Amino acid sequence: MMCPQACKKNCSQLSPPTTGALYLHVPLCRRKCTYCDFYSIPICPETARDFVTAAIAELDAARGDLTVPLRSVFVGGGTPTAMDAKLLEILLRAVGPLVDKRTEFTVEANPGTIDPAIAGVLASAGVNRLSLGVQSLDVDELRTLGRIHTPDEVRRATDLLRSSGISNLSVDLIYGIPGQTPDSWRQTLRGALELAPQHVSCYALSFEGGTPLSDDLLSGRVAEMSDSLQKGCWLDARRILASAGFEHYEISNFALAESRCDHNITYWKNEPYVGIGPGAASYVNGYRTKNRPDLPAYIAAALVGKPVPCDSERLTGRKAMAETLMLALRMTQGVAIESFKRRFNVDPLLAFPRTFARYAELGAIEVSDSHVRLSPDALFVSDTILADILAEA
Amino acid sequence: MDSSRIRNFSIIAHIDHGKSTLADRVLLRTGAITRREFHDQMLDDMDLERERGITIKSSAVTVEFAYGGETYMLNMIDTPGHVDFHYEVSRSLTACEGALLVVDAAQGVEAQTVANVHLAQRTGLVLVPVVNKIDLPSASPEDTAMEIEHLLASSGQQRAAEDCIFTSAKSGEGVEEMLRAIVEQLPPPSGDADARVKALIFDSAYDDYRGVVVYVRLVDGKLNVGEKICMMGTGSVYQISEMGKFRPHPQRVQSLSAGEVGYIVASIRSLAAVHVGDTITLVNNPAAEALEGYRPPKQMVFSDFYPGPNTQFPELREALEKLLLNDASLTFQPISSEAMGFGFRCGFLGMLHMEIVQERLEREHGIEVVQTAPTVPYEVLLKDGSTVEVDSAGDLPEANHLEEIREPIVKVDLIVPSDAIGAVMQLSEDRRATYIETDYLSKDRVILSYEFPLAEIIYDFYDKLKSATRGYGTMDYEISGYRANDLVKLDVLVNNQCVDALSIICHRSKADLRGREIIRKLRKEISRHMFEIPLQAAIGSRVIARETIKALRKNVTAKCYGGDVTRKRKLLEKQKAGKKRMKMVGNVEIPQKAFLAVLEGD
Repeated sequence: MMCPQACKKNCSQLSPPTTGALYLHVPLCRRKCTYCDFYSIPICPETARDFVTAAIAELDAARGDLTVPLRSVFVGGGTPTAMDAKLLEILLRAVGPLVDKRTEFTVEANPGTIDPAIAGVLASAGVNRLSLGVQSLDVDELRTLGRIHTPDEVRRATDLLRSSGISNLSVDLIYGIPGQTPDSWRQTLRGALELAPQHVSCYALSFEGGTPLSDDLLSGRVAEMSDSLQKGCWLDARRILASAGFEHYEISNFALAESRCDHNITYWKNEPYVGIGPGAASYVNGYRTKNRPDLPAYIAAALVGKPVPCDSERLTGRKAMAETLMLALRMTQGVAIESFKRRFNVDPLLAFPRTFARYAELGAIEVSDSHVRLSPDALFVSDTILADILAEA
Repeated sequence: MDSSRIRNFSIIAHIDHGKSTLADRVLLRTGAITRREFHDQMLDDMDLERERGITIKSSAVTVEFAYGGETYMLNMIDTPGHVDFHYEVSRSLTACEGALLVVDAAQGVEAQTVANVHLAQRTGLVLVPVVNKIDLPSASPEDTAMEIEHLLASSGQQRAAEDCIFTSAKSGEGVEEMLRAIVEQLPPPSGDADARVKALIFDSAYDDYRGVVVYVRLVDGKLNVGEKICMMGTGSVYQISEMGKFRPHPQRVQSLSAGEVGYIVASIRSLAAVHVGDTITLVNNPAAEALEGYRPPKQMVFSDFYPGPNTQFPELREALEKLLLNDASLTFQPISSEAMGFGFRCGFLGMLHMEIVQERLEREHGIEVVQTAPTVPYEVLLKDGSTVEVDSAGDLPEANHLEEIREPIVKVDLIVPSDAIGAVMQLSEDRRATYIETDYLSKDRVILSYEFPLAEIIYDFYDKLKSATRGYGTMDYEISGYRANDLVKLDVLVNNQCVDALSIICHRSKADLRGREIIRKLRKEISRHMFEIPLQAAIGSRVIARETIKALRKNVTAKCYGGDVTRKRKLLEKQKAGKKRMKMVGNVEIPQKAFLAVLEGD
């Protein structure tokens, strides 16, 4: 499915030949959250079965693009754990031959979907990292977000996972929820730390067009948290998590030692990955493709052995450089000058002299011998800088 | 042709009163065009004109009309329809002996009608009043005729309302009667075909193949193809390679005699070499003196054009040079600004002219410009007794060298409903106007005459007039001279740096208010940056207004969109797409709109 014929001639210099990261998108949910605009539809047993069959077919077809054993597998969604335990097991077993013990094998889960059967399947399939969509530990905030779980279920789920042998946990949290206060956010942070995770992601809520929550915002039923308060929440997260020993390694991500999310780092380093499932994106041989977010069309194509419908583009030259910077500058360490030079034969500072000079003068860009990075304060206004880099491309 | 059977006339009318359709009717009735060719606004040939409902470039069409057993040659000379082109209108009228004064039966007399009547009267034209659009449901032809009678009486021409010809350009009703009136009422040209050649240049156009096409009215003498001619104003000499008439399609002729109207082609490469109002004579047998009334084009509005973010300076220069080929009223000279870099100071006849140039740059040449607030030319008297002309606030000499600053004054006629007089008078006083007189056109419409500083009306005055009169008010203006006033230079500082392109010259009594307004507008136009931006307005070193744009707190894509990098990139590109027409001043991005905002009132 991945690489159209056309690229075989001249793609070798753009990306390393090995693709060690696999993303598997399960576009199924029990109920869609009010803020979510990722592709998913309500789950029903028949669709779930067909999806799994189709995904396995797509994975087989993409097998040649992958370098085994994989460095990372990330099963996300949607809600992978919303599927019946049996089906989930079939899907995860299909990944089995591609991984070994060193593979970072993450599954995303809603705390309300973790039961002993699911936990057992996860552990036996070799999953060694669970990303829990906790979002908040406040009942009202969870309701605003349309989450199906309660704070109590979060604690039960983590206990169950740990007792099943999955000890590496990441929790996702959201700030900027309508009705949330700095206090309740700090309580959620502290509550999350009590779950003893190895990794925490703190995302600012974004109101995506077409979601129920964004409709509520437009009609005035809910109000957006001010930018100042949101920045306060982000600073709180940095402070509270730092004092618990977490390293702030990307705008929204924090990790204990040796616990960064290797899979996401693949994205930020602009290295190749294969995405499976409707709505999933891939980056192979310099081509970015995205499967159309249309589950029925996906199933119809995959079941008869046809390539699944997708859109594709290929960036080269300065556009590819700008995109690389756009991703790498999200990380607190920034972009590694040497690896950028190896890839593009030019120093990033010389490639985008206007933007870098302008923001260096403002103290927003910091340059060391090995790296160019955004200053800690500039991370929260990074889009301004990244947009300028893209415009200079 | 015997000059007693020639009639030279213009059609003068307010915008949209049906001039062009009426002209087309004349062409159709006289057989100059077929019914198939008859389409609206045939004489207007630029898209822009059609959209704006105005005529920018005039042209002349010759038709034949049989009447009383004789064939008459009618030369219909089109006039520009906007106040910016006052001088060009006056030259077109000078080429005529008479004019059709066309007034819309539903709208009545409007400001341009009045201005045109005054001009025609000064030129000594005989007017044939025409009430057009009589078949509109809202038409009141009799009331309109009464207004015309009143207007003509106050300008010294006695015409009864009954003398008006009632037409519908749409249906053709009254057109025959109108043509007969032209023959009966307008005098034939009085020139002497045996005298030395004097030909009035009343318009010109640029043709890619033939160079400049010069429109002339032969006043005296006779011109033949092959003769050497001289422009008396500029002194330049050319040889006539082609002459002809537009009927309306060009038709070559070997000669043109006194009283006739036609075109001349003479290998003239640039429109700038041909000045409307200038006199053509023969090199070998020149006239003793030129025709009266010539003056070189005078630019009354100036604005600095800088290349936009996707345009290079040489591209802008090339595009302006191309525009100059068919717009002789435009001037430009290179300038450089500390804040804005290299650009051009452009001179225009008026605001509409400026807008047209800007739009043509964009449409015809794909050029983006960042443009500064338009300004008027000031006469500055220095302490040493010398006088300089200043057409940009940035060029104003230091205050200690200044004796006085004189600004251009215009006489303005405003035609407004009588119930809006109070609002319009208030508006005029706010703009430093001096009241001259009131004249009632009818019981509910009135002409208010004022003197305004030109600077007070060039930008948004017309919009304000429209809203003060529920859309009914119309205006026309004419330069009347220069007058000394208590004018000061107001500087604007963005992030502690004086942005020369934002400086303005304004009256001292209004400086505080203007300063506060400008700063408030700038605060809205400039988006938040990563640092706090102080904004100040100052006269010399005295700060009169201050505001602060707070620093940007958050602009971050928090979530990762999985591996969907393309989506994230497109979102960021969209952020930047809205920032077209930005100019970097120091570390601050100032949008184009901000440069115009300085002239807007509330």
